[in-house]
Amino acid sequence: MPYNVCKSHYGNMCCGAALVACLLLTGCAQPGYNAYRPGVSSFQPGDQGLQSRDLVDMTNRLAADLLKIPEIAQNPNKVIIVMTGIDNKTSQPWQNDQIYLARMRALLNQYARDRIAFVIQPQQLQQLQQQELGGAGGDAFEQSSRGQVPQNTRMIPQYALKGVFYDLPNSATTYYLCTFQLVNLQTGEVVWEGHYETRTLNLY
Amino acid sequence: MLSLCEARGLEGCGIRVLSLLAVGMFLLGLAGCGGPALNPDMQNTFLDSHDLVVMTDKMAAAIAADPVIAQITEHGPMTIVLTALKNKTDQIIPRHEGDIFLHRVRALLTAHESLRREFVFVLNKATYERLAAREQTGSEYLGPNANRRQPGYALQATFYSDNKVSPEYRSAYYLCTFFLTDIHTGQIIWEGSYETKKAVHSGFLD
Repeated sequence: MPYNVCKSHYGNMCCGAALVACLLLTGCAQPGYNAYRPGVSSFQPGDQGLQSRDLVDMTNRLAADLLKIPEIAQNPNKVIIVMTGIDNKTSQPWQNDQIYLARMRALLNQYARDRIAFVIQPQQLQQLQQQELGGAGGDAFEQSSRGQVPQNTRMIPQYALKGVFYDLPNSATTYYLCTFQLVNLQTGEVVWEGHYETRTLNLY
Repeated sequence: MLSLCEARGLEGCGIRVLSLLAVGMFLLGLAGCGGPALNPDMQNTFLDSHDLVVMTDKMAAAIAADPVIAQITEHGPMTIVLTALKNKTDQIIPRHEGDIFLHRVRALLTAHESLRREFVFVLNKATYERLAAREQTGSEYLGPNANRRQPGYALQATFYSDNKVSPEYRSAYYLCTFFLTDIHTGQIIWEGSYETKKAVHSGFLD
């Protein structure tokens, strides 16, 4: 009799230990590497304000819209554009706003290079030439004799792509209006404007 | 264990052994589960070597297969200089770590003989001048830049991020752009991008 009781206790203990081990193993299983990498368009419960999915949706839609305007779609030549910057008029001055135009330019450069050519800003080009070619402002005779960059070879942009972001914070939500403009640099005319608006929950 | 039980009486023994097992398992579990949460390298939102390899493979393949670049290299190799990474993320990327992103693209684009006929990379001017001045050998040294092969294109990269941070949560979306710029005209002749998002929640012991 004592032996039977002991046997039964021993079996229970083994079962219990196995159960605990299984539970611990399940609990300890590390999430896969991709578990830390949600999709760029996915909603993450902790995200606040304009989110990466807004960035992706907005730039995908507006880049496609921009390509439809007659100045680009019906132009026999490539349209030369310079990307200026985002004027951030939201209440979040810390936000890395240049990322919006950067993604738009990357999309257009990947999918519409037959219709659009982007040039870098004059000061960036000057700095690049200064760093790598000895400077556009160097000795012209020396440069021409050595076949270096001639003066004023910069491709002149016809249009500037810029953006202005606004927000309207309330107690529970914040409304965002993100606008992008294509401006004719000769006339100052805004030949295209696209906008994206959204409202986000404020989490405290 | 059976003989121990038989010898000491069974009621207390089973409970004691079970308790010991449970405590042991709990301690083991704590040690096992606590490890990764205490190790920030396992769960952070920074760009890592996985991103480096995937993004540079993608960029090098895109450059090598690009039709516009192929038209240029038909007439002769492109002479390219690498510029420093422009880091506009919230992650601190030291200069040498930033260089690795561009240098791996260069390494991939010069890995095969056929590619070396299309792409010629030159040192940037400052590095070349330092090297030439250090290694100058008498009459062979004609002054800074005298013999330097002039680049026609610059391979540049700018990284951006959008971070969301709270005490319990952190996420970072990264946009990493690479572009080839004609140094003479300022035109961006090619651009590629890599994007990823990382999110972590603080663990029990963080």
